[in-house]
Amino acid sequence: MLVPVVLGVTIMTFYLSRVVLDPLAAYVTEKTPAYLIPVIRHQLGLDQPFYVQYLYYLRDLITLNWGWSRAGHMSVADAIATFFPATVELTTVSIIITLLVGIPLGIISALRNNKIEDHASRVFSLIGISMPVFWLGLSLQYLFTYWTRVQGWFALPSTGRYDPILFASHPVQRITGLLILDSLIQGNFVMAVDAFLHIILPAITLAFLNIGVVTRLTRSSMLEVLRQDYITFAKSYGLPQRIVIYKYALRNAMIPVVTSTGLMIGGLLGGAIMTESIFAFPGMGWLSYRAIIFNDSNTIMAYVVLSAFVFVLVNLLVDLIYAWLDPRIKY
Amino acid sequence: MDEKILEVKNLRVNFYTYRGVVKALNGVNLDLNKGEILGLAGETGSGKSVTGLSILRLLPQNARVVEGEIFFKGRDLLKISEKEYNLIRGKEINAIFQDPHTYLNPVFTIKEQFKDILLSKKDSLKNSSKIDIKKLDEIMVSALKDVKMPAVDRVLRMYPHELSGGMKQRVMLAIAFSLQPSLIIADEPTTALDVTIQAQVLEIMKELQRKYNTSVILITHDLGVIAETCQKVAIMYAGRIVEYGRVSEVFRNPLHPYTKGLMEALPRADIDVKVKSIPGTVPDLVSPPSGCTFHPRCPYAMEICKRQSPRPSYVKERMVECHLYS
Repeated sequence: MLVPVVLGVTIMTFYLSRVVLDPLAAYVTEKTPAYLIPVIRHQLGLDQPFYVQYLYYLRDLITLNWGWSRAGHMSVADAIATFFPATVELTTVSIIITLLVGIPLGIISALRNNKIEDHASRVFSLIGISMPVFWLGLSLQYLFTYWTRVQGWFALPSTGRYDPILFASHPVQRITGLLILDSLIQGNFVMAVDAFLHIILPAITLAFLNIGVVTRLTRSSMLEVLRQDYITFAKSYGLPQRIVIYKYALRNAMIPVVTSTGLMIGGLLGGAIMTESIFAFPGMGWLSYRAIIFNDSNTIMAYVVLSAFVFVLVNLLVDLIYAWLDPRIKY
Repeated sequence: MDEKILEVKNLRVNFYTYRGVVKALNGVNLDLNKGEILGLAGETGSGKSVTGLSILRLLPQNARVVEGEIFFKGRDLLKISEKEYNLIRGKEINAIFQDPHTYLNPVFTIKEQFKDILLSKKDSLKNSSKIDIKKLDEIMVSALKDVKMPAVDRVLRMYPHELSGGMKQRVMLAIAFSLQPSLIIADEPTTALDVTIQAQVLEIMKELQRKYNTSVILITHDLGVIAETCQKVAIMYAGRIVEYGRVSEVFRNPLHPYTKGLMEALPRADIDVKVKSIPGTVPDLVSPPSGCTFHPRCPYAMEICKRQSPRPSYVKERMVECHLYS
């Protein structure tokens, strides 16, 4: 499934990029002499038939020769290597927050079904799902950067990925591109903490919406599982409540949660344009937003293909986790 | 000398539903001696499963025991804490359920589930201070051999969906008997199985019951199964036991009109009689009929049956609740 889907996406992006805009635009400016335009066109192979161009495109796609990014002022491959890890980092932190809050909340909600705890978690989820990202992001900045500073307590950084002044005194070598991980590997705890402080607000902003989804899903699937006969069976043999719920029920209840978490990760890895813009966080969302503004077809194409690829990959991962969770599933 | 192991006294259970209060049990009295198999028979909705679940304290959330006592080895099961009862469950009182397909957890191996049950009862496994993992394995293997399971080691490593229905039910039997409990509540253990496998499972159950001298409450609507397996039988109707006695006597000479009806509803191969069904259906327990709950369906109904519920009459070890005998 993986290969045909990705191929299909490449055909579509390729077609769209040739129809909607002229890729030549990335290589010429107002100052380019008119007589040079057909020459450049020929050099770049843009005068070749469509399918030939597509084959060239596929070749360059595989060899990471993705062209020049006007939005990033570097080659597209470099731009993605720079911006994608930031998004991976943001996604990871955000998903960890989502699951750490969402699953326990869902379990409590299911166990205290229709009691006050359940209602509270329902309201909380609903707020999370309904809250617009731009409003939440700005509110968090106001609360944890401005208001807490005015109170004289502390101030979380509101923009960027790290503090450049701190970075100058505590430089971090780039290994994976994940700043927190890189700092930790090099024992640079100052930068690790700084990077974490920078990522926490955007991560919470992104997590807030997903917490609601995970909580509601965990709750309903937990309630469903707790009604099953095998739970009655486990109880009838006097297994402690702890094992019945956290082992026997939770594993069964996690199956739908894994699906939706996979979709979430896929979506988040594509970059969150609004959140990254609000927090000036240099990730894929920020890059793609700039690429669209700049009419930068190379970057947009690379972005779309990469997003599709990541999505397919995450889905594959979800399937593997399924098979591990539920032995009845065989591939 | 019969040793009484279980004594249910005047048990009343209500279900609180949207339609109203369903009086599922209306004063059930039950005695069970050590090593005895008691059959609990009746139509769907007569309260036989609810009786079993009450003893196990596994009633659904909307159900309440409103009155009554359940003495097990002299202790009232309804009065002890959940924690205390969890020590009894699995060790002293075990359950076997109807559908082996849904009662084993699909995502864990047989061994994992079996082991957790044994581990939760580790007090009874402890020789010294540490539990012996090897001993756990021994118990599991011997329990599965007890139920004549072939290739025990392989079965232990399997997931429930890899086993057939009969094998799963034998796994349940193995788990139920592994800690040699004093009481097993078997709720329709053979209903979901093929007829040939039914006989096999019943045979194994009887054998283990004799071996460990276990008391069993066998809940079923199949009078044939009761005739095969049980010593005593209790016939339930609308949340009450209407007739109780030795299987041989009750089956040869049913006293209660409902029991008679049940017997006549049995298809028989040996003699050529037409199967007769009992007219009408089980009464609605939200608003049960006045007097004797069976009177609307009873061919012998008298005037008094409509007004007054019958009191139990005893003839030796036999009990019947019907105005015909009072």
